[in-house]
Amino acid sequence: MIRINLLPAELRRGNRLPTKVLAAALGAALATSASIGWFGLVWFGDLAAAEGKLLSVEARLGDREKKVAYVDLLEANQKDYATRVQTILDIGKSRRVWSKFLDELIDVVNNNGDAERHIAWIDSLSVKGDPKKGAAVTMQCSVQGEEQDRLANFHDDLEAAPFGKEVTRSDPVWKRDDDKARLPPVSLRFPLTLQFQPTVKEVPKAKPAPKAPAKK
Amino acid sequence: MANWTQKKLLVTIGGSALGLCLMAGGGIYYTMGLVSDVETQVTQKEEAVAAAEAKIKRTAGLERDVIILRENLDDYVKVLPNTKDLTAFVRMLDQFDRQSGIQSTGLVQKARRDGKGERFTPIEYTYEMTATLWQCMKFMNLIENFERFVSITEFSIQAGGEKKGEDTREGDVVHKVKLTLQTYAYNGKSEGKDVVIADYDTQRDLLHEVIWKRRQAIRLDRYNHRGAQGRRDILIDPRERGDLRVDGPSQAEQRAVLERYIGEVTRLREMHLKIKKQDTTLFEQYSLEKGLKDGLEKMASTLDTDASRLSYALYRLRWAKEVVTPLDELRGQIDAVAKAQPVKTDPYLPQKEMQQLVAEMAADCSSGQLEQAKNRYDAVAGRMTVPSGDPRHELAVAAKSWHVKATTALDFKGLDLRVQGVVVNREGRSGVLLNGETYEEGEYVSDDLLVKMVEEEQVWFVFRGLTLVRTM
Repeated sequence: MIRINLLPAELRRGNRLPTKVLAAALGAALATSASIGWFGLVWFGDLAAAEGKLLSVEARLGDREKKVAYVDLLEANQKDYATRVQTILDIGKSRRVWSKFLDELIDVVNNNGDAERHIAWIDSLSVKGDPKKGAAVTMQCSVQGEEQDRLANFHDDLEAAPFGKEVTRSDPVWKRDDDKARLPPVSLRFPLTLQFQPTVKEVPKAKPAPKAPAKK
Repeated sequence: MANWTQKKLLVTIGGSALGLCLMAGGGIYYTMGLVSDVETQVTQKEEAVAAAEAKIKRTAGLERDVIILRENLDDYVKVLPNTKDLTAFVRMLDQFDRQSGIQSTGLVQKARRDGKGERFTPIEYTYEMTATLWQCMKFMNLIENFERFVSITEFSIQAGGEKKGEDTREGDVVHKVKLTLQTYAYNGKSEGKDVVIADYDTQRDLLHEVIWKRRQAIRLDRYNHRGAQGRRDILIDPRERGDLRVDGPSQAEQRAVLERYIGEVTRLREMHLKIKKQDTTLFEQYSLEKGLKDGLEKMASTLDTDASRLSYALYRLRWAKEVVTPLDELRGQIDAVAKAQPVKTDPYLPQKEMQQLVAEMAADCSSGQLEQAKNRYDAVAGRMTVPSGDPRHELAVAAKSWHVKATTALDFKGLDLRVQGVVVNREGRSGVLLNGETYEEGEYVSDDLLVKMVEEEQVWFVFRGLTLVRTM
């Protein structure tokens, strides 16, 4: 059977918005509004606040940049001056007062005129400076007589000298020397090396950072 | 749309809503990401601000350091020569040559490094010369005490004197010397920019003390060479040369001279120690001081002559150490004591000492120590002229009286009086045979000597108003 609704369209019951649809539309509108509202809150609230904070921090940083640049310059100056001052100090410390050393050496050799202990003399003396290893004093020495204990005494006196603790002495060796033109004719000749410690200790330089591979 | 079925409508509404929600959700997610990024940036910038603030806080300290370093650097570099100073340095070498007496034979500059852009450029010279050991040491010492930094990095001395007739100066053998002198030229303008510090001068003035303290770090080591001081040249073989005839005293004679002087110096030093002791009397002190003074004068009169007789190097050193130096010390100590003695406002001897003097002179005269009594008075005679108003006047008169007695007695003792015989007459005047002549009691032997009384064992004389007895 076929039913025909003869009522005008607006009065027909079947054309009214169904409740389900209405409820769905309402729900959809609510959900959409909430989502868009949330988005609005996040965009205009959180993001704007964060950006405002960023601007403020950037402004603060900007304020300090000039002062920081000044401090950087000060630091650079300080480092530069400190390096120069240290270099001059190192130059100053690198010097050994050789007239003082010679005076002390003369005292040791003269030994207050005590001829019983040793009578020594030096035929040649040379000093070579080496900033890394320290200066080396090379001498060709002699002691009068043939008694070896005189040579040992001379070595002991060198050790007891004011410079004695600063040097490493070569070991005692000797060779008999007869000079008939002299009285007494016998003497013991021996080479002697005094190795000084370096005046300025070198600070090992920091290894440079490995270079980054070149970009192709 | 009007013909859409309910289902279709529901799907459309749901789909649209879902789409919109999803879009909003995406937007939220995206925005949250942006917020997170911005917050990260904020955190970073805040950290940068904190770091900047920490850095800024160090400004005062850094300024202080820079001012101190800059001021000290300006002072430190003064020890390093600039180009003009190098020219002056060469001129200074000439002056040192003359001061020390060396004879230079060459000045060669070692190859100088280019040093472009370097603040400190090393400069080296090799200086060759002939000099005695003492001249060489003086020259080196002058170089090392030069106001600009100059370092002797290398040197060698080749001993001379091995061959007969080689050059000598002032009696010392001349050696060949080669020195390497090093200094640094400072180029302060090589690079870098000096920061401008506000109110620099005021801050520098406030830091004046710290700057000065730090400045002490650069003080270069200096040393004053002591000179020969009688020491022998260590580059010379001190043994006697058998091939050369040596004039003057032998070693044994030289040793005898040396030991004689050492003995005398020891004696004088002991005398000086005794003087300093508290338990010596004034008169002992006087005789010790006199002995010391005489001893020093005697030594001084022969010192130079005998010093020139010592030619053996080892004895010359002992001479300097054991004779000349102690003698100088002794003289110095005596001078120091003389200077340290306060100026006495009272020109006369204190009463206590005057009483002691009188008592001791009386004791000396009673015991026959006339010479000692006389010496006691002579030692203080200048302080005995006390005026009559002074309470010590009587004591001074008493001391003078004892002095007169002692002097008179000594003079009497010195008279040539040979008593050869006596005639004692109990009833009348007795007589004495004196130097071959007879004198009776009451007769004058000379203007100031009278025979007062003659007894069997002794004769009484009156000499210058003082009664004296000469025993047989």
